[in-house]
Amino acid sequence: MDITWQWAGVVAEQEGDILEAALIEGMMDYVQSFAARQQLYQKIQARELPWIQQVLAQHQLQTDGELSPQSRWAAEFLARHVRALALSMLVNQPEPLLQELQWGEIETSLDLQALLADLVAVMQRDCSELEQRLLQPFWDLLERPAPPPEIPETTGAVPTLMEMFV
Amino acid sequence: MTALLLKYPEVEGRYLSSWELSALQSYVQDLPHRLMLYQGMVKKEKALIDAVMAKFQPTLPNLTQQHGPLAWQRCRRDLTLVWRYCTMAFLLNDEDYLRDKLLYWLETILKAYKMREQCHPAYRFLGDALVPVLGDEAGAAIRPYVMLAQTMLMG
Repeated sequence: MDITWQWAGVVAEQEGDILEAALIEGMMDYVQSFAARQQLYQKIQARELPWIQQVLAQHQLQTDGELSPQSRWAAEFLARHVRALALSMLVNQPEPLLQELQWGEIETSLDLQALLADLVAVMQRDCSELEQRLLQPFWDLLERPAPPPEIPETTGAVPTLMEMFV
Repeated sequence: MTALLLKYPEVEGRYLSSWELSALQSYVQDLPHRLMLYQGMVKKEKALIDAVMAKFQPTLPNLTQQHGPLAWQRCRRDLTLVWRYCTMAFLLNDEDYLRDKLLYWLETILKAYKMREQCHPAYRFLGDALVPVLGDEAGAAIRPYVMLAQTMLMG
């Protein structure tokens, strides 16, 4: 089963042409791997919060109570990457982060590469061999820091990490 | 809904809703059958286009005088192109693919060259030939895409 085959993008490129047998076979492979992908997608969704908590803790960032802007920013940064990875795996095509958001000052105090590397390590420890194979083509989405989310002005109650990921 | 139809910028930064996930699942489960129909459509492409051309050519006896000796060749090429985009859109279950990739462009070309009137019957003949050439199931499956092309290109 060739789980690295990225069917949707390839099909879209066959404009005005007929799909070759190899592409059709690749689509069938995708169909066969879909149940495992869906299961992993749901696992990632369920495990996102504990994974992010672990990474934040490793970087001495708050994981409970009212979050500092730095912790909140780091949590959102990691969550965006986890979600891009999960979707890419599910549809079997790389879906890099597209939104270009303003870089603030907070991230300059954080080691983004290290945050992402630790996230990969935490996720890999928690994934089976099959799950790792499904994710394998997409880990590089977590190699480059994406533009961070904007930190809105803090007004009223500051969310806890639990509230952010409900 | 296909992976293409997830429209990534809209889902970026969040998880798919249960509805989106189940629509994707349903599409993927249906894909082997869709592929089987698609392969049948591909096999019968020549027979289908031949059937359309056989009816269409007598309606425009002066076409080559008006548009040059390659006019029928171009007509066949355009019909084949529309047909292939229809089959691909069917495979992807995505009418937007057909609109965005082909129809907006071809509609403009036909308007610019004032060819809409002349091409009118070809797309009607294409619609008429679906079931006789492809059979009931494949004919019905591809019909919405051919009808979309017909509506857009014939105005």
